[in-house]
Amino acid sequence: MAQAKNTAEALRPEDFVILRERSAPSDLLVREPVGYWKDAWRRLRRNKVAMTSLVVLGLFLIMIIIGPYLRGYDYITAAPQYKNADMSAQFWLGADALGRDLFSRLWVGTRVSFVIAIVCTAVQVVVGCLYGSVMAYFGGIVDEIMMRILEVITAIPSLLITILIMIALGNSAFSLLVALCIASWCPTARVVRGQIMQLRESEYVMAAEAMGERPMRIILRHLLPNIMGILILDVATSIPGYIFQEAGLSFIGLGLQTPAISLGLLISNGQAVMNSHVNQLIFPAAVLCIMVLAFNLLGDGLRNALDPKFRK
Amino acid sequence: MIKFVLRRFLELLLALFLIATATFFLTAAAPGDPLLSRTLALPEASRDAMYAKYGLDKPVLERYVITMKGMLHGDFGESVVYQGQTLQTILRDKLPVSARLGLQQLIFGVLVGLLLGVIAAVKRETWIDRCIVVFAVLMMSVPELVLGLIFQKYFAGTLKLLPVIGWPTGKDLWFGGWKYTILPTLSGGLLYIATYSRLLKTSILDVLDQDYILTARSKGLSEPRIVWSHIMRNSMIPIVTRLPVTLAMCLTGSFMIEKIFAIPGIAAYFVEAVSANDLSIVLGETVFLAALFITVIFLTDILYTIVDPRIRIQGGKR
Amino acid sequence: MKQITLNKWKRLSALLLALVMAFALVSCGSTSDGSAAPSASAPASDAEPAAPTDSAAPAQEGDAAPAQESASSDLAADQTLNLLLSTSTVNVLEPNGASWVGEAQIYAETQAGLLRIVTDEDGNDSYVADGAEDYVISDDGLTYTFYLRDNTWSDGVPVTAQDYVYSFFRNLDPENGFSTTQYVDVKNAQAYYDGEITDPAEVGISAPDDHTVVYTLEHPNSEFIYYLAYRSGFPARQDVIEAATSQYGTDYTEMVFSGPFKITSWVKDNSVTLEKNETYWDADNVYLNTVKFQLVPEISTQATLFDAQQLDVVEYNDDYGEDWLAQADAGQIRYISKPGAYSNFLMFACENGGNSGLMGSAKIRLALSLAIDRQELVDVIWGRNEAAYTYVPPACLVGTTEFNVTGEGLVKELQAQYATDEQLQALFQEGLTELNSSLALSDVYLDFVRQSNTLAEQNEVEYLAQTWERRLGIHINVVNTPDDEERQQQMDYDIGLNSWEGGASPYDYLFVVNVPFGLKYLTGVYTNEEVNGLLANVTAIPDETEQANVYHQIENIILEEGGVGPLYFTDIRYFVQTDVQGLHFTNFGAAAIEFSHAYIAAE
Repeated sequence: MAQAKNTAEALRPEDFVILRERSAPSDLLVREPVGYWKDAWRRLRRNKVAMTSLVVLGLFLIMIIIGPYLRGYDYITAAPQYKNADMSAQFWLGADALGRDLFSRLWVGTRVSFVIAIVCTAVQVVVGCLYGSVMAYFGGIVDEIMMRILEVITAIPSLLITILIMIALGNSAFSLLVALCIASWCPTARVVRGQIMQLRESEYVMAAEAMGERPMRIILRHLLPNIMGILILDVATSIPGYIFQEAGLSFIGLGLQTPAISLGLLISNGQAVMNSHVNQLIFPAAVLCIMVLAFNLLGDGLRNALDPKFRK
Repeated sequence: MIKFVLRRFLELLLALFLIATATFFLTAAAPGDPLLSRTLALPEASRDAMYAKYGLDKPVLERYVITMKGMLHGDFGESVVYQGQTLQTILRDKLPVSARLGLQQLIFGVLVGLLLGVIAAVKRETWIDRCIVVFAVLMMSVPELVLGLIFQKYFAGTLKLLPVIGWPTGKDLWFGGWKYTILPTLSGGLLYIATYSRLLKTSILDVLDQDYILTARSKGLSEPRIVWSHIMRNSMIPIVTRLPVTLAMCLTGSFMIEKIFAIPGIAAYFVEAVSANDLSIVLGETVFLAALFITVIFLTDILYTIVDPRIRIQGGKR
Repeated sequence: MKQITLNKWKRLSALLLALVMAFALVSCGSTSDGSAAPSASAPASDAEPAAPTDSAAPAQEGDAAPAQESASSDLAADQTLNLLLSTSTVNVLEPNGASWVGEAQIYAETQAGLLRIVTDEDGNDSYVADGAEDYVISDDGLTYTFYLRDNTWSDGVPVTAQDYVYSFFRNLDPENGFSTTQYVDVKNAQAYYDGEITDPAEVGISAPDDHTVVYTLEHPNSEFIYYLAYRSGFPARQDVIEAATSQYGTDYTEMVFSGPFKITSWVKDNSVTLEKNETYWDADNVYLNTVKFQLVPEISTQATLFDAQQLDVVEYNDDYGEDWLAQADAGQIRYISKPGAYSNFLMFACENGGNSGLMGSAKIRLALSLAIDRQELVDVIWGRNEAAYTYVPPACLVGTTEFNVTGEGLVKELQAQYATDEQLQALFQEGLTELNSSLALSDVYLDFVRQSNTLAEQNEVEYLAQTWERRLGIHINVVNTPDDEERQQQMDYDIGLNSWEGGASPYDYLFVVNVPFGLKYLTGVYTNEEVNGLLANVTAIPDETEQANVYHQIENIILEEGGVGPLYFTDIRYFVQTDVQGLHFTNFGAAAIEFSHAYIAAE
């Protein structure tokens, strides 16, 4: 203590050196300015779970593209001599009831399911956005009528309408697409409408209107970019839903049918031999679960990243 | 309010009419003749009599008018595939079964789900929270069919703890034969646990961020008081408003479970009816379920205004 | 099996069974009919059934039912049998209106028909008298007189001959839309059905007294008696049926029963419970107290139930077969296996040449048929069943003469002749040339329509399509629609899958190429003048060997012309719990599993 006091007393003004003048303006932000997207990405990157999911999905994507060709087998033509072959160096995951390499088929099936999910999501988002924004933009009687139509569609239990359409149109990829999409855009349209209703009141849209821009241009240029966050989230959470639905429908015989290959069909075929050749059920089911899991976790991460409330 | 209710009621009727029309033409357009296999070997006269019995000898538009007229009296016609069955008898026999299954799943799933949601929110960012999150997402990612089969094989087959299949009927329909209901309830309820625990956790975290919680704290309110009258009450809003739709959904949602455990419910039956092209039953059930859905949505709207004062102030439209 | 779409295979097989009921012939009966008509002994109250075959309850596996006196010591305390309900529709549980296999199984056990189909020591179908005690066939073969037993309905009212007559007219009423093909031979039945005569007394069925039913035929038909093991061979109660508030047979509480069991519980689309009917004439020899039928769609659930001994009989399944066979070898369960009479075949759109216009050519059809390796198909797709090289299954007999042999047949011989892809392609090409078609093989596109969409059949279709594409160099378009049956009716396809189960006579298989109603669509309306001519006279040939020769002649024409392309015969395979005794697994019976005199043995 005493020593310290002595030291303090010993300090003289010459002991201090002025390094430099405070030159920063007082209104400078504490943090470097970051755009909404950059910030969201930064937060997403910090989320370990979400990033792991993203990496897993990336791996799946690679496998979807190259997986079927890795083994170089013909995964379509029946090879009776390999019926239900067990896992081996030749067939990594075994062979199916018609003796075809399950590893190759698994990735083809995943590809089909994935593509169906992506296309359905695209349809859902595009139709939902258009419908929702038209509703919100025009308001009044247009909004009223379109809202009623939307309510009618929403009111039919989605499972029923999907099955009805599959029966009416037959088993094909196209009818599956129609069946899965027919009602799925409704929630998107609602959300988009709600968002745009808020944005409409904002000054820059009023300014654009005052400048005489055409409604479509306003929707595309000003309104949609503002709801991108919500849409990205919508996409991330919709894809696993579609993968699930496709698998479910194919499983009960109302989705795709052989010779098509999809995750649902593979699981369906696997379940038929689940007692004697459980590998045929486990691997497709595991791919389905992991893929859906990854999308769900990524969705969670995106929700946190894109939600301005969490912005620190 | 009365005007609002009346208007919504008229809209409900209009919507039902549209749904019935759409369903009728969809089923009429579907390929496959429901009577074909039953009449294949019959002589001409018997075959004609069969088609006449179900009105299938008439042109589509005439059938449509007849069907719509019948519907006004609640008469959807006899099942083409299941002789002697009408929508009423099917609903009478099968609805209670599906309703009990759905309610049990819902009560079990939602209660446990809410509990886990609260725990996860309170123990935020701890290993408990992470376990719950992983469990929830995992449950959402495993098809209930796989869960059902695994439970059945293990608990009923290997351990022989519970019956493999079956469902209480007769006097046990609502409050008996509990052991039969455990596995189906569990298999279907896990999804609700997953959904509701996630929903509540998100909702609670949302509420915690709100300024009024800060205000309440700074006012020096006791912690239990804050939790119960501010946090819980507000974070329950999305739960309460979502419940009715889940309730209506659980009637049709368990068809896989019904199939695995051989439960004589309405969900699996409907899928059968659609596949067999059983026109009158498909139409009847769709209209019935749609009516249920619309009513529930309608009630939800009203419920919303009750639980969330902000909406009331804004005029009750969302 | 997991398909929740109505399993069309089951639907069709059920339909076929309904038809089979009309045309079925029971194998060993052929030897005893007519000549074996017992002397017209007066109806007696003797408990011992005076049946055309010896025992009332010969056990399928050779174990005899317990004798009455010692029964109690051999029997387990709990006499409950657990069976599966067929996945096809179970909705009308009375003989006249039933259309499906699952329904027939139950009406056959809850009503007492004139005859009951069982199996003999060799496992072949046979029949015993049930509702009738005795019958006489007149020397000209035109009059069948049945003497009834003293049997009682479950409500205490005696079963009378009038109940059988009423049952007959129920089926004959076009308004009911019931199957009527059973009565083609009965005098004036067709005219009455057509409305040409209105007086029921002119129809060839009568009840001279309460215990006698007399059928009069238009012309002799030695197969007629077997029709009476189905449908209107069972009695129906007019007063009860007319008092019923809904369609009779759809509400068990409004029904009365004359058979060994009565329905005591019925949860639609789920389960049916039967209990012993004490008013049945032979109730003393009915040991089971309860029989529970449960609908279990999932195979794996069935397996879990069977392994937990909560199910007594389960059908062979490729996935569980190995495990269960091992258990059967260890004596833990019993394995029942015998050849079946279900013929599965390719049909070709012969009538209009199909969508491609090529199916009119016999050579093209033959090339398609010969391209398939039957044994490989059976091994890969089914893991059971018998490869078919003939259309008529080897189970069929001409009288007592063997007809076809398992694993052999004309198709095999022709396959040896056209063994290579080149030969098959040349055959196909010849067909094209005959049709004046300039198509190259690689330009040929054929529509392939399946019978159902079960997983196994999806695989089968894929396998077949690939085989044709590989061996013949043509293109196959697999049609995925839910309206397969309708397409078959409208000839909107090229190649299709179909199946047929007739009775024990080859006639029951061969006649489908020349019949009225929808049956002709079974074979794509294949017709051949020579076949029709031979078919018209073949049943009149008295000598069995000669008759068999003509049948072979007919079958060979059909096979050589590719009228049908036989693929495989479905066999009968079950696993049974060891304590269940006295079950009969019939090929043609209304009850596929006949359990009226079965019992659960004490451990």
